[in-house]
Amino acid sequence: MNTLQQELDTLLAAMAAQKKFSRDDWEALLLAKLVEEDGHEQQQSH
Amino acid sequence: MNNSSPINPATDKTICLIQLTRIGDLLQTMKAAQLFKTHYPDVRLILVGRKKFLAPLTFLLPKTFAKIYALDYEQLVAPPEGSTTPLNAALQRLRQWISLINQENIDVVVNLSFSPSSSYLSKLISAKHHLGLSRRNNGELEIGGSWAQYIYATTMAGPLNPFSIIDLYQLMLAPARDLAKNPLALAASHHSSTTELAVWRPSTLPADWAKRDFTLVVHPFASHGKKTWKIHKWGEVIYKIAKNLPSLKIVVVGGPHDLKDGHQLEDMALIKQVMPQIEWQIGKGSISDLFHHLKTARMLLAPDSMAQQLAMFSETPAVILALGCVRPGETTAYTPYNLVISPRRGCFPCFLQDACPDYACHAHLNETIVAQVVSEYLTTGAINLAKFKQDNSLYYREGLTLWASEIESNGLFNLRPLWGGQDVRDIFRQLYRVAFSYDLAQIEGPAPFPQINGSLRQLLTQHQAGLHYLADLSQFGKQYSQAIIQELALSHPAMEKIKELTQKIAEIEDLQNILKKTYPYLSPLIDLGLVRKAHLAGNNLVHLAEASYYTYEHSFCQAQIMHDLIQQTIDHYQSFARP
Repeated sequence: MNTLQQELDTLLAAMAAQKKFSRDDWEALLLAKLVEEDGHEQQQSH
Repeated sequence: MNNSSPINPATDKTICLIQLTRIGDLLQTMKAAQLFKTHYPDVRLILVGRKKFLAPLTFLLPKTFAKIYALDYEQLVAPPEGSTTPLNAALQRLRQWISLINQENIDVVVNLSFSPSSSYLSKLISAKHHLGLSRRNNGELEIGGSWAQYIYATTMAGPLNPFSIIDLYQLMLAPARDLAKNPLALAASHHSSTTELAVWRPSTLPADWAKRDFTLVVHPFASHGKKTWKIHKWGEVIYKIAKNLPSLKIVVVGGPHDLKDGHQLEDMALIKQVMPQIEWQIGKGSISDLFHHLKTARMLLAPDSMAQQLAMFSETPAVILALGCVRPGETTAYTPYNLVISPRRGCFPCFLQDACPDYACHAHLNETIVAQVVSEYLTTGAINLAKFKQDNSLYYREGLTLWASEIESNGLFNLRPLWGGQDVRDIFRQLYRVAFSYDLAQIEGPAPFPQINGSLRQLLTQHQAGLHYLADLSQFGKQYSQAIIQELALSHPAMEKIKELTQKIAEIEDLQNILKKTYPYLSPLIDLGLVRKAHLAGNNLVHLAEASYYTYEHSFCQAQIMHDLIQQTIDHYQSFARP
């Protein structure tokens, strides 16, 4: 995971803790993150 | 991506349906699933939904779904309290939950919700095929299946979709020919008359209808104020029905959040006069209790709400008031013995987010007429339309349309107007119904000519000009797509030329959007073409260019079909119009 990604994750975690997202946005964000991780895993296995 | 055929029940034995929207949508999903299971009982259906909407339906859903997975926002999604890494902790829980679903060896995921969350969830569930909204590996939106693309293009954009949502769900799941096997479908020899009926009677009523308690369930509440009357109008209609039928028991139902309006209703002076006939069940009992009330009652009176969807399963005829943003053709309960009363007004139906200070369409539904319709249907199982014309002034009758639900011989749900003429949107819906059901599903069926007048004829003629432009643009699209294919076939294709042709195709899309603004009733055709163009199937430039060519060919054919249907409608009108 690169530095930009780590910073993004830190920012997201902080915003989540402060409840800056709506429920729908937060949920979509989490699911999108899982899709992104799945995509990375598939790329690496190829 | 599988862009063409729906599921193959011979080989696809485990199907996962995603429905993350509300209780009403879950009930519609269950109806479509139930109908699917009657044809394919050995296919295993799994449902993924939200816990808060699934929980009240546990008495019903397991009859159709082998397994139900509940997305519990508090347990799975919300950032855990006190965690130092809330993002990772939430991801971990979700990952574990999804891995449980992935142990089901699912063949096809069908996403029947249209939201970002559902599209990501669909992608995360492993399956051979994904229908409905999903995501590509790079996170881009993907819409699998021609009927899912149709739903996305038409129902989200405006009120011109002519099909019931449950029919659209069925068409995503199964071949169109299965719809005609519905035992409640009209006989193939049945022809709905185009002349005014004197008496309407449903093609069938539930077998136990006459033996049910002489009880009316009234559920006056809906998810938004636009969709239902203010409480005092409900009080007036309940009073009138009670006075019309002194031996009728009226059960007034609602949830805990409806208590305030419920108390207001109870306090009305009119209601106090008929209190002995009323049983108050607002804020008491569960949805399961509501179901049992409906199962023993003769009828339901409600706005468009979860209650009418529940009445599908209790087999209770309903009189439904369609107000505000409701599209009765899409959402009316999927049984052939319902009546719908809707306002005749230019702004109906609106969108939920449209500003509307006074809900003017509500006034078009007169309480006396609603009470008469309910009282007569309850007592005779029919409506004497000739008598209604005599008893009610034109002023009140012209303000509303009375529709009757039926399932046509081809299996498609339909709302047939019993009185009230058709406006321009009704005409275009009727034409789109013929065009799309044949074009997308090869379904033919009863297609009486729309009834038009001079000004509607003029509007239709104008839109024929729009269809000419649309056909021309489609021809250009084909031409440029073909030129790309030919260039790619050369041993040294010129990328600059391909870029130029691609840019021309993008300009066609811009022109189609302008066309939509000039000819708004062509938006279903144009939007469907745009959605298809945005989801071309293909792994390389050649495949994409070929898919682009066929998409424009399809748009061209659809434009021709609509043009011909409009011309036939105009010709029919002119053959009967006075010289």
